Amino acid sequence: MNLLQQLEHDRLQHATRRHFLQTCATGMGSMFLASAAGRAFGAHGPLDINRPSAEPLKTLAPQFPGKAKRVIFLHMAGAPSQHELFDYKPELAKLDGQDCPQEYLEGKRFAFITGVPKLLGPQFKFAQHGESGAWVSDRLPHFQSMVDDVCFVKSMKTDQFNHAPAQLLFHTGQPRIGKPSLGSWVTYGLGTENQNLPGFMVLVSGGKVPSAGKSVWGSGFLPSVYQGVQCRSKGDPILYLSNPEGVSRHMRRRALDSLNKLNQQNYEEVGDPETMTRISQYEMAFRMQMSASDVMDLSQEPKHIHEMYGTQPGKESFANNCLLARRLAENGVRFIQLFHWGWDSHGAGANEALNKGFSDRCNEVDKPMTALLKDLKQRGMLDDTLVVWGGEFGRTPMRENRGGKEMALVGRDHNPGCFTTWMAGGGVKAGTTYGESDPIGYEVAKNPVEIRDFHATMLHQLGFDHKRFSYPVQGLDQKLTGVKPAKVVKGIIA
Amino acid sequence: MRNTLSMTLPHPSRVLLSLIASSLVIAGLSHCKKPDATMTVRTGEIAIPDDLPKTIDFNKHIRPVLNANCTACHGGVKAAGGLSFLFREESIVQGDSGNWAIKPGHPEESEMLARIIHSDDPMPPSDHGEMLSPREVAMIAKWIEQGAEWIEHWAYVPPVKPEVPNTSSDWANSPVDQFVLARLDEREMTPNPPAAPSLILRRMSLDLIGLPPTLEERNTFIHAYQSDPEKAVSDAADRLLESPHFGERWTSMWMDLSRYADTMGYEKDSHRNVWPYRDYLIKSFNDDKPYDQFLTEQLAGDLLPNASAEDLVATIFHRNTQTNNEGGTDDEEFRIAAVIDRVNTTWSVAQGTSFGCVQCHSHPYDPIRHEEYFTFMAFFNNTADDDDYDYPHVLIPTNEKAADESVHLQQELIALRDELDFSARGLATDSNWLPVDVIDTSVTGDGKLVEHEINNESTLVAEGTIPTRSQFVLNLQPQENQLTALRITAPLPNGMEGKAHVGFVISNLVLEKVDAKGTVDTVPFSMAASTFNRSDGDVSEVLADTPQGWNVYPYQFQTQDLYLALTTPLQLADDEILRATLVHKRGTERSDANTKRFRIKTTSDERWTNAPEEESRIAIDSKIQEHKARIKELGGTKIPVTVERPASAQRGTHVFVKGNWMTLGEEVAPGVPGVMNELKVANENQQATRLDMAKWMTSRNNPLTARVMVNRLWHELFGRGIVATLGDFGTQGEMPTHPELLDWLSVRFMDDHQWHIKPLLKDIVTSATYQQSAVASKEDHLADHYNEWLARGPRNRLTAEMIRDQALSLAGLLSEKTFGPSVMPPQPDGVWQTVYSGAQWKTSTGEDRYRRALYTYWRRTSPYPSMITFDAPSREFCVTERTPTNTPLHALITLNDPVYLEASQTIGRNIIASENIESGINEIYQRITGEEAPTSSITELTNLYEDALKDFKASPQDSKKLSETPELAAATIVASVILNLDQVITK
Repeated sequence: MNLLQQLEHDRLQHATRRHFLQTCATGMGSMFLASAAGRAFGAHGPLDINRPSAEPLKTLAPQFPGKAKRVIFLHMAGAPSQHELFDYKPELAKLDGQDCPQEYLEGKRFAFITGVPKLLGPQFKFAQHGESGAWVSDRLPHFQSMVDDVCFVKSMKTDQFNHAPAQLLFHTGQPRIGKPSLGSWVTYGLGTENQNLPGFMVLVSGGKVPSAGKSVWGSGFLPSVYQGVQCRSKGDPILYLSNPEGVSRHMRRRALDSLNKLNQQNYEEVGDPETMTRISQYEMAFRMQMSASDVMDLSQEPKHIHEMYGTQPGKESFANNCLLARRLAENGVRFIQLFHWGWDSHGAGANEALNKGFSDRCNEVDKPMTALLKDLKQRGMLDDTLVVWGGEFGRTPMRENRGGKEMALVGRDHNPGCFTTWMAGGGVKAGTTYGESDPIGYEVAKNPVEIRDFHATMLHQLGFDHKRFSYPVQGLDQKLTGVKPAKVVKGIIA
Repeated sequence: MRNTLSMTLPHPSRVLLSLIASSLVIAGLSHCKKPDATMTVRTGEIAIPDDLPKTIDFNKHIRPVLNANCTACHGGVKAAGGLSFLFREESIVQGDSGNWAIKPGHPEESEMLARIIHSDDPMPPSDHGEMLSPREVAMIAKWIEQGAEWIEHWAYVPPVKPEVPNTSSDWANSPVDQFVLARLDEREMTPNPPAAPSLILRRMSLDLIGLPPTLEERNTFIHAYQSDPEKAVSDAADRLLESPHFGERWTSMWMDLSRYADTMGYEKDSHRNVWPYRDYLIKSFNDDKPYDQFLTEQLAGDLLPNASAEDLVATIFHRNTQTNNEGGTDDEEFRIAAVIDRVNTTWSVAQGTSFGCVQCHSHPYDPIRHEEYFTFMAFFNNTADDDDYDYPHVLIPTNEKAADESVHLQQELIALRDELDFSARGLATDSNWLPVDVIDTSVTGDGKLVEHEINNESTLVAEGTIPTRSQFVLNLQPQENQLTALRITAPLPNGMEGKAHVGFVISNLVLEKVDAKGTVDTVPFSMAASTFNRSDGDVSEVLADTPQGWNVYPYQFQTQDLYLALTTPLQLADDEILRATLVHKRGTERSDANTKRFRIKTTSDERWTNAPEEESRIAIDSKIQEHKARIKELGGTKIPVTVERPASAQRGTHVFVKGNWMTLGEEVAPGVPGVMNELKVANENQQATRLDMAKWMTSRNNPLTARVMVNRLWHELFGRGIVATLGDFGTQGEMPTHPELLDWLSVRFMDDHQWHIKPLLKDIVTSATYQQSAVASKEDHLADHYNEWLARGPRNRLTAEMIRDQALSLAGLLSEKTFGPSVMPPQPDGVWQTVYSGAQWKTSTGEDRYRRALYTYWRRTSPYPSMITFDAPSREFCVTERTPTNTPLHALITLNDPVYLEASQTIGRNIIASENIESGINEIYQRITGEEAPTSSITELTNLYEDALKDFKASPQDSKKLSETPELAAATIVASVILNLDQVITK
């Protein structure tokens, strides 16, 4: 074979291998196997993430050094009203009670608003706080003290106005089911720092999982090992983590020793490398039983920390989950996803109405999320932990008039046109506000941030170029940010 | 940093090639080997090495090069310069300059070549990708010279039965083996000898029925195998294929494909009554229903002549799409999402093609055009369902005979109702209708009725904030004083026929006569008929004071009419007027069901007065009542089905520009992609139907249907398809490793086996290829890691369902019960916490705790935990294959999940009940692994037992928690280890 033929041969071989990874839905799993057998894959084009099969969550360096090493994502499920928390609009207060002008309604799709609704001014007092002078309502008295560590994004927009699709878009980049979630992408790309814990953990409070169900932490077309693992506040913190009653840790160790020996023997006879992987997974499970129980044990925290967060061990609460999030972050978990249900303030029921349950929700999150930021900061972890807060869309500046009538309680309908989120730590520009809404907080007026821009920015902070962070599926390189152009929002990052 | 490097550094071959390419290509391969020939094109010369294949094969040599280098810009998404390399007619073209892109027979005049080797500005542009290699360029040049013959991608050419290769080996049992061996010979690889008989039986049993063999079955088989292996295998295959559990195993596979779930999905994720579809699948597999029939029933069972209950249950296949019942969702948006899912699922399941790409643009790599997505979508766009929970339903009695009777009655009922409407429509066409003058109107709330011209006729349009469930009151002056009937026409806005507009329900229409003094008299109606009524009920309800009535909801696509005959002709005095009240009692909080646009006319045609009394009409009416009574008597389960909307309410199908359902392009008629076999339309005077499409798909000439199914079955047995990409047979999919074998099996499936699956499976499991030992050395793994060439037997982890069923079966706990509603085996508390839903997991009792995994209640937003951990998909959409993983969470389940604990405890009891511990362990080991336990294993497990026993004796509290006695507790530990052995988790 002459030089050219050799080159051509190598190129074709390379193409064939890459081709397999690209087109086969089992690409990743098979790639693990392949590398275990001592093969390496060439890499050009999309990122090839190559790991030994026994370590699918092995830590990998990002594409470029990122400011953030991990993410804590606080999702306020149901979509909190920006008008009652951060996006202060004195103009809207003046218009309170007036009919909404027709030009605001034309071509709009609402979930419940019918005909011509009335405008609704902010329901709570606002004041400026910190050196940055950020506006925060009186519903968040604790959080007011941390505004100089936070970057508010007041120009968020989405194109989904129902909870489940909007949550899917917020977490997977697509409003339909079947795509990997942010946390899956991040753990796929970076692996995790503690092999004895899942790399992507999910904590839910408010008594409900989010509207879109477990798909918001699903792994879509990525191997299922990258899906979020839900931690539970009652019973085992991770499903089936504890040994059955009566099986001590010592007994489990003894049983595993026998199991490993027999499996090793089987490997020697049959020669299937998956057997060796299985042995290592059983060992990892054994370690996980210890580390996960340990990390989830809030009673190890001192009294002043409990006071700071407002935690009550043993109870499902956002406060407990915030403290757990810090402990998981400390223990090397890559992506920690919190959901707190109850922000769907239509005014259709007392538990969610702006003049009722909304204040309870604020009380539930104010102290713990403030404590989380402070605690991360005092431990020097805020610098490399990206904390994200937000709902799946915003709420209308109009009062909801469900069924074309004035409702007994006060509420607002879903508004995909504009909402507020905040980020802190992880290389985010602290003490700033990015973007602006219009004078009534209805549409974005300046510097719109699409969900895909938000994702691109998060990935950038973690060291990934969203355009080149892809996974091959059925002939296409799929990306979190999809096919529409997305941008890293430079104004958010330091 | 590794990733950064890997991305920024070009591949070494590219560096070298780009350094040397331009000079080498143009100057020829002078410093390598003297080429035999060169070709001159506009921009230089191309060297043609003499070792190129004699005949260039488009699919083998050219298409991969085009797809890798050209189609990104000259393909389905973008056809730069009007040039696309997906279709011959778009490649062999003359550009504006008059130059040919490709001129068959004339490489020198083919501009494509000139552009590829252009020294300053080569194609593809350097920022778009690598240059073509000299060999690739030479190959294209030679192909053009040979006439640029364009051969369709293999998967679009119907399979022809190939010759079985003649290999001289006594290893081969069957034609399957001959094909496999021919490939192994080429690679100088040798196949493995057969696996141990007990392992062959275990593999066959798990593969065919999803359960391990019993000890007795094992012993019988080993005995028979010793005297006649071939017969033993054949008999065992027959026994397994006839097992009532065969259907259950293959239904599990089909449930992923058909996205079976017991709930509707999205936020509320409410219960959906579709378990009869699972029973249908089990029965169909057990009965070995021909696959062409099986597919046809699922795609278009409702359109089959004299559709049976079974045919209708089969159509649940496409009612497994999600419906979004969250408050405030747009029903049309999610109806379309469901239709798109049906199109994509049909193509993934039956055609192994990722059709979803074509939704937004032409297929990037495959010869399927953007518009063709929508012509195909048109087959599915007129089903009656509309994202309103599970509408439409049919009642299916449990008894099969009763079911058929009831289904026939329900279908007749629709036809009878239609007959009534049809005669009224005829009368309406003949009558002379006169418009009424609107004196004044009033509307509940802040809304008003405003007159607009629609289709050049004055029409009342509702405007402003009109509350849900409002009333419209109209004072009217008819043009003539005598009237016999009233007509309400609800048009669409001008020029919008066929497009979606929010519809309405008139619950009740009240007509009154008002005189000058204000005295009001009700004017009664004797009959109501309409051009369309979307409801499980009857349009006559518009005459009664109920919420049901004339229903054109949630969306309206065509102008619709309601006809109301007066009981007796009405004579209005000069000072009398009419008052019509439209009562709206339906509507959701999001979207009112008030009438949006309407006009009222009257007629004095006397025939309306007699119409309700006509004999034929009375006969139909009484038949309707009888039918309704009998259907009620037969009872049954209400299930969602696929049925067509009537012709009078057809939705137009339009191209979605760039895939956006709100941006409509041209209207299209139902059709299939041009690259495939021809579509035959049963009724030439009508548009093609879903049934025509199903018959097209299951036609002997369809190039994909048999291949895709054969490949899927092969994958189930070997863990890898002959085409590794089960869901992508297109040009970007993997090429088949054994194309001749795939075609041979496909033709055998269609012709010899007449689409029966069981004999095809028997062909495969009785082959030497399948029965090989799975033992492989490191060198074997290096030579063929994925076992593509099949020099060894398959070895794969069990599926989620098999792992659970096996544990229960080995413990003797598994229920033999087949069919029926889903069950709820134990699941940890708090797994279900769904928004806006009161559904609860109610743990089943008795044998329903121990049913096979496929009967487990499947909630989309929260599937059974151990199933998803072992890679089962959430069933929210069609998944053509599961991605197998190997994670610590698996170990937590098989060691700690109470299901596996209970199995271990039961097996532990069996160990203790045996003569002694060693024999107890050996027996159970054999039963579980299929193999005789090696002495070393027995020793290991016995030592474990002794150690555990010592511990449990020392801590009786632990012991009690685990089992009755320390002995049983220790045996439970041993059983748990055996259940977790690698050879137990794999097959």
